Amino acid sequence: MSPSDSNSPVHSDYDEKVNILTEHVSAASREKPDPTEGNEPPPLIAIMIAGFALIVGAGYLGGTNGGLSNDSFTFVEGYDVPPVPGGGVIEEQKPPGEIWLAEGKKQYSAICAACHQGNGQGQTGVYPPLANSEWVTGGTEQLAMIILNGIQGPITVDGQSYNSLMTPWKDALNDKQMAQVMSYIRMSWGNAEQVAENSGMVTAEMVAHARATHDIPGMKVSHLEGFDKDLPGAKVDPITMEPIGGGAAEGGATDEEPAGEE
Amino acid sequence: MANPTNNQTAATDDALQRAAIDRSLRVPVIFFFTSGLAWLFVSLVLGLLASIQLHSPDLLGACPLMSYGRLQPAHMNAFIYGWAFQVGFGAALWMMARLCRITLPRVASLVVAGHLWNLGVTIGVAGVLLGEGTSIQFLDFPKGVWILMLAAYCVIAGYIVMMFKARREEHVYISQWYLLAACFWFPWSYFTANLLIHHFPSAAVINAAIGSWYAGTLMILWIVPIALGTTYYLIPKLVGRPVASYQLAFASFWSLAMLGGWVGLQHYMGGPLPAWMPSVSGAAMIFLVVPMVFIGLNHHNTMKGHHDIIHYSPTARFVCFGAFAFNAFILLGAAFSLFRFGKYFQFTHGELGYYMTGLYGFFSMVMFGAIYYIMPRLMGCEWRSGKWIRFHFWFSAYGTGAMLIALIMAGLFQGRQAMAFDQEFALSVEVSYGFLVGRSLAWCFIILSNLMFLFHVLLMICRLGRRSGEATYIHPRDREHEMKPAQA
Ligand code: HEC
Repeated sequence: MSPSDSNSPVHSDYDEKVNILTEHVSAASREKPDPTEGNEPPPLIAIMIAGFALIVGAGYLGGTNGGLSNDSFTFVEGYDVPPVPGGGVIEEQKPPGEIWLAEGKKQYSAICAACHQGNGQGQTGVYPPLANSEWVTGGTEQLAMIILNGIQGPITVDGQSYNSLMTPWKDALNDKQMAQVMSYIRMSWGNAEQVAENSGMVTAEMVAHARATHDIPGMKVSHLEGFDKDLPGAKVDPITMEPIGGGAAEGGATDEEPAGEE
Repeated sequence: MANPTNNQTAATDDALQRAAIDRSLRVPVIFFFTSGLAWLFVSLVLGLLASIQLHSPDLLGACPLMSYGRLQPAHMNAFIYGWAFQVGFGAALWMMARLCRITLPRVASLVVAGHLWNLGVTIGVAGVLLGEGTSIQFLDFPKGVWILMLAAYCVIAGYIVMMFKARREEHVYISQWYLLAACFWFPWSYFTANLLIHHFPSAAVINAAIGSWYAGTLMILWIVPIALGTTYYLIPKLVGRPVASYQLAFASFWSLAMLGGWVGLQHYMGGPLPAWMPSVSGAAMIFLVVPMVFIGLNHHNTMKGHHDIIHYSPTARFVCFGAFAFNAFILLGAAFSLFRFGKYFQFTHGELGYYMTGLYGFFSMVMFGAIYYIMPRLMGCEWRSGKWIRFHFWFSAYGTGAMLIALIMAGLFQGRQAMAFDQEFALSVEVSYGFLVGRSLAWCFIILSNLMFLFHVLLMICRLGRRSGEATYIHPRDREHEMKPAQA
């Protein structure tokens, strides 16, 4: 690496006999003297930039110090940016129906998606699809029975026949969660267009009714005969979750929270 | 051009004295450099793991030891207390001895204190990894370790102060101001913060505030003065001219001294603290631009006409890079303190970018420069290869540059997303994915460059450097244009 420029002893390499620990002073001797301070005047630009920084800093201090009082807290106009354009609405103001379905999706992903897949397509020949399934889009009573009790034996779904077994889910989900899952699968993957008008959403009280009336161990398709109808209970609007006409409309005031905390 | 004089005759009394000083400091300074470098390496590996953990959490498995929440603080603390402090000790001891013209007669207790310091760092880092950390930024070490560290620190800093007291050179040079001040500033904030947070805790908010104050002062009152002391020593030394302006140096030192203690709380601007606290800190951060400009101009004027040393001298190149990064560090700090701008970076990767600019781009680069300067004097041999130094420089330079950009961009995206409180918080992590991968890549650069450096240092320590009277340059020196005799 060294530019082996001359034979001068200063630049030449030491031979092996030299003890570099005691005799090597070349680094120290080629050094320039220890530094001192000069006396050039400070350049004008330094003073200008410094002045500018001082003004900005002082303005900042004046604008944000809150009167130097221990009781005043930061408030700066515009510190909270408005929601990103195109983003959703504020979480708290999301329509109740959307929250309901989001909860249903959580349950679905946790339990059902393992077999019926996240997109509800099932797995050909093994797990029937939920998308486009007449069992899902039909009456809520038979759907509730299937999920509560599980189902076994031959079943035809969307023109394909399956012969297998699904275990009951009545212990895994409470009424509210079950209602949310049912709402979710009825309202997703194009099923919403196929369900009867206004019966897409399922409420906890509907499920409670089904749970109380249908406890069928080892349920088969034959048990579902005659139950392709909707469970009793007020139908709710898919966005506001407010009860819509008919049904048990008299409980209007309390039905605002159809979620029915269990 | 070179005076073909004999080595012995060229060595004046001065040079002999310098060589004697170097010899007396060999053991402690090499000790601090090597253990610092070992910690640097540990820290870099931890940092890489932490960085990977952020974008590919499945890669390292679910072991709690490998969680980001432990790796990242372990990495930062190892970096600061393991590497930055120790290399700082080494450089400060050496410069102080040189400037005071003191040969250290006994160094035993210095080395013992160094071992204690290392013990403290080891316990601390292990504690953090085992989940015993305190989760207060830069004070993550388990409670109690600080007492050991502070004790060791006092002995080491005590040596520096004693050297100053016993100085044989009347003139007190700028570097000495900084080094001496740092010796006193750091224990002040370290002691206060630890005592108040660990032993007399008050409301959690106040603890958080003290923590942020400490993190700020650590940077401005230890990292900055140590590195500045080094630049003030090395730059004029290398060009062989006095520092351009005493007044500028004086003004910048005292403005730093007056502002340094106020910084840190801008970290919680908009938070549940009385408005004046972050406001005062933020203003201090902005005022720091004043010393920054003074120092930058001073160095620039000192080097006037000698900028070519950056081309061939390893020390000059690293130190000048560091001096540049100092500007970036201070400007980022000022910018992040402005509500309008800083709100997007608050609590994001951007803040890490700020710290890494200061710790690596500025401090570490200056220290590398110092090691390149000091090591041959202590070991009596020259660096093996200019090519290796070049490698170290470029990989480090690109590494820090890339890391700063990656972290700032990641921070910007993350911050914007985090402020959109109508959207899921997790999104704010996802949007910065690409930049986090970039950060890991930048780490790889830095690790690579330091592997080279470590190997180079190891050779030096084993006295396997070049046995030569000529310094090792990055590029061959163009002697045609030199005005002064080579041995000046
Ligand atoms: C262990 C895999 C498995 C899980 C988990 C599972 N199912 Fe099933 N499911 C099946 C199988 C298999 C059948 C068909 C049974 C048969 O052949 O009689 C079925 C049938 C159905 C049916 C009727 C057929 C159709 O496709 O419409 C519905 C509705 C249903 N499941 C809903 C659910 C819901 C809701 C959940 C979550 C709470 C769930 N399943 C979880 C395996 C599963």
